[in-house]
Amino acid sequence: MLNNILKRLGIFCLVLTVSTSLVFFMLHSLPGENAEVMAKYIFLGNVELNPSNEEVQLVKEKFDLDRSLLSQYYSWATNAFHGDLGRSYKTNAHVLEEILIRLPATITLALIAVLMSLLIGMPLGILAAVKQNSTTDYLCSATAVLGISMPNFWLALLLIMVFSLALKLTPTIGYGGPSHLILPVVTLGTATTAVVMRLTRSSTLEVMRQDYIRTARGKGLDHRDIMITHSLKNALIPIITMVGLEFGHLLGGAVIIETIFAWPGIGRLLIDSISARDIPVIQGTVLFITLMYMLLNFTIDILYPIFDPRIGGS
Amino acid sequence: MTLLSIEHLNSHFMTVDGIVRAVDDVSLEIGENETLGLVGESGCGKTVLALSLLRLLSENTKTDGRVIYKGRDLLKLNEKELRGVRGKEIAHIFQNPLSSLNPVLTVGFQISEPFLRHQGLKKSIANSRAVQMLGLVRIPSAPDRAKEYPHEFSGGMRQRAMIAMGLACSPSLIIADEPTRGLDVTIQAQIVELMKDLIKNSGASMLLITHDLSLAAQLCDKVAVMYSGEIVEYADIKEFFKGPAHPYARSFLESVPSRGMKPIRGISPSLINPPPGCRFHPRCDCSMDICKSVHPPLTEVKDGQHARCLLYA
Amino acid sequence: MTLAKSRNMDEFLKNRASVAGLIVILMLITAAILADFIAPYDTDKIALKEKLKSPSWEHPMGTDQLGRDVLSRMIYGTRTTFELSILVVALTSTFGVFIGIIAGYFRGVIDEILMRLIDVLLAFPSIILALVIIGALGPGMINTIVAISLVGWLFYARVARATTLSIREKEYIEGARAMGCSDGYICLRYVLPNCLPPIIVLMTLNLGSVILSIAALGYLGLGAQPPTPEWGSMLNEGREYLRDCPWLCVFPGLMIMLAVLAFNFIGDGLRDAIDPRQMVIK
Repeated sequence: MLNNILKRLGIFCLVLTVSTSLVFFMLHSLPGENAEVMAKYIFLGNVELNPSNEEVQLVKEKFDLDRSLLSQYYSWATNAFHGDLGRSYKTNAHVLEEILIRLPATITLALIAVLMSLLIGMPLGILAAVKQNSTTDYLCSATAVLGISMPNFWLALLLIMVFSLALKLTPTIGYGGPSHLILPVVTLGTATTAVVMRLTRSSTLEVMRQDYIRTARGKGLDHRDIMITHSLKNALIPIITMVGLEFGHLLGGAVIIETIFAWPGIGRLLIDSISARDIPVIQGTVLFITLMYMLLNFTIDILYPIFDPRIGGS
Repeated sequence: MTLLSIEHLNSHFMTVDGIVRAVDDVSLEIGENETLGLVGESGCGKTVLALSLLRLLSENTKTDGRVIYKGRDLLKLNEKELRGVRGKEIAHIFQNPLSSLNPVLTVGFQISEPFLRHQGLKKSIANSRAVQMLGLVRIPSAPDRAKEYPHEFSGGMRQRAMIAMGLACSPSLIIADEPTRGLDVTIQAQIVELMKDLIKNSGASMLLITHDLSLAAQLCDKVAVMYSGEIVEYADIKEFFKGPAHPYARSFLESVPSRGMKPIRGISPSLINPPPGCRFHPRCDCSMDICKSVHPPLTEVKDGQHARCLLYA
Repeated sequence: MTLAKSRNMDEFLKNRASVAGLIVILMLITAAILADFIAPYDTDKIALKEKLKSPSWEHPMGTDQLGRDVLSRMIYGTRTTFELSILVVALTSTFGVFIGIIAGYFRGVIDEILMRLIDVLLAFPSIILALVIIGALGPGMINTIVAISLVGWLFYARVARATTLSIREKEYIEGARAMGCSDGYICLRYVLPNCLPPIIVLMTLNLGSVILSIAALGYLGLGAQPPTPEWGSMLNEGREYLRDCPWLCVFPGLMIMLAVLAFNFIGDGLRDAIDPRQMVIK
């Protein structure tokens, strides 16, 4: 068990190092680009104007940007390890602080959306499986395909149109009480709910075909006991794995949805910093998004033996 | 006294290629305190027959006929009444314990379920009864073993656990499907000994399904030979081993390793389109012209020994 | 082989949703090709007098804030979307299958590198990775293609590698090798045809998600730049007029969903028609 955790931790650190360096190299791949953007902000205060060659050269010398990428990455990583993610080109604020202020908003949004997808998707998936090939089943499947194919940014606009503008039931955009959460959570959770529903249906059907379900019937257990005790625990295993992977899509979706709903999370920070070419902020937010995704999957890996005793036991 | 009587039982299921007649007009009786062996090659319909009795087949199977148990037709009971029979009156010990045990539940819990369901025992009491059952099937350090999962058990122990689960509520009839399949010879011997003892002590009847005639010889009072969905021979075990009447039963006996391991020529017929007339005629050494067109009835050859063959008609 | 193929075809045609999807896609492609002939107006003809008109006989989908005909822009938007997405899928599938087969067939270092690369790159949500690349290269249509492609080929490589691994040990490959066939010949004539069925299914489903990504980047203002007609950026421009001119948002979104839905239906149908067990898609 401990061995397993240590091994996972090792992989975790490795992937984190490789992925941050990859992002770093990508962001710094255009030679001179970085210095130019910095010069724009330092001397001109605007990303739309062009700095002179001398100004760019000055920035390069001041911030030592002619070094090799590897050594630049090394300094970034060392600083990051000590909690210093640098300063924003645009606002000169500490990147870490900027991120930490916004992190709770994103986490709230993402977690509630995941919770919603599980609470709605799993019962519907089980229902569809139990009533296989019925109208209910087809209705669930059709809704699921619709949920997966619907662009989330469009869904957001439709929801705003109907619930905020026409019916005036919810606030349009912004951050505040629980009522502000409704539309972003629904938008973000819809696709995941559909995916959870589809997977729950197929894995429940798969489990119901297994020999041990016949054993349970042979013992005289009723349908409810079979579903709850014998089927659900097995069907849960692929669902847990999938939720971890799907969380990535969800974070990607959060970036777009935060922008639409003016939700002050790190997704919106990322989009703003991309438009502003604010490289330290881009690097920092991507680091945190990756971290969140990896942490969830790490936790799932560690907790896996609870759900599947065949894995990681003695 | 007859405990279970099967009358004109049919089990058919639809596939893309046609209707599979896995059980075709089968009638059998099991007396109290009696062990009946149902033997035959793989794919002859033995397992389907066994699963039909408690209606454990999938929904695309059509079963008709009568299965009279203590005066009630099991095929006519509703789901709730049937649940009261399953695991309590009649227990089914399934083949392939590895896939028949739920991988995510402890063995102890799975054995305690019949107690919880049928005797309404409290969890802790049901649990200690499960441990007792594990002890009964001679699993060492049963209290610890009960907390383990099926994958932590060896093949022989999983089979014992399946038996313990079947015996939990002291059923009157046990249906055991290939209980020694896939086990080492020494483990097989242990399981046979165990089953012998348990049957003797509990006074239950048993329907033993196997392709292994030596196993039937050790455990059964009577034997029924199944071929292509039909019963082709039904006899007292002693009479049977003295000399089977049906040519298939004879060949089947001769194919046993200790009796020369002589293979039966040809291949088993399809259950979708069985040969006309006697279903065994294409493979039979005694085949006559009439066998190709006339389907033989099950006739009494001598005292208590029946065969489905035109040689005796 | 031909028998099996026609059986697959029958299986596919029996699926009504897939056939409907196919018809929708064929119509959209026709519209994209014939845009010059069927679009009622010029896409960038600005007529401020005509701006923000609600749908009418003259303008079935209304006009936008610059008085441009929305229907015409939608038709040309189909062209933009299909050009971009087909280009992306063609690039990524070709490259991905090539690398996947090489890795699966020769194993060794290439395989090791590919697998680690997949591990690392799939540790990000793919839209985030696309955003990083656009963050490095700057917004724009070509950068959008690059950003989506740089991640997209991995899925093809993974599927091609898995299929290759499963067939490289088969007897007929051994036979071909024994007859002195070169590795290149074996890959081309034996391995590639076997990889195609799952790859075709993946391409169909992938087309749907590429269309979504392109639209998402367009919507964020990072993809196609105005005045290029593109569904995502049209949505973005229409967002400001959500309250009074909802048609500016309804139609582009509907088109995106229709196209994605159609590809998903076709992909699901193809997957069911071809052996479903061999699929290794997320």
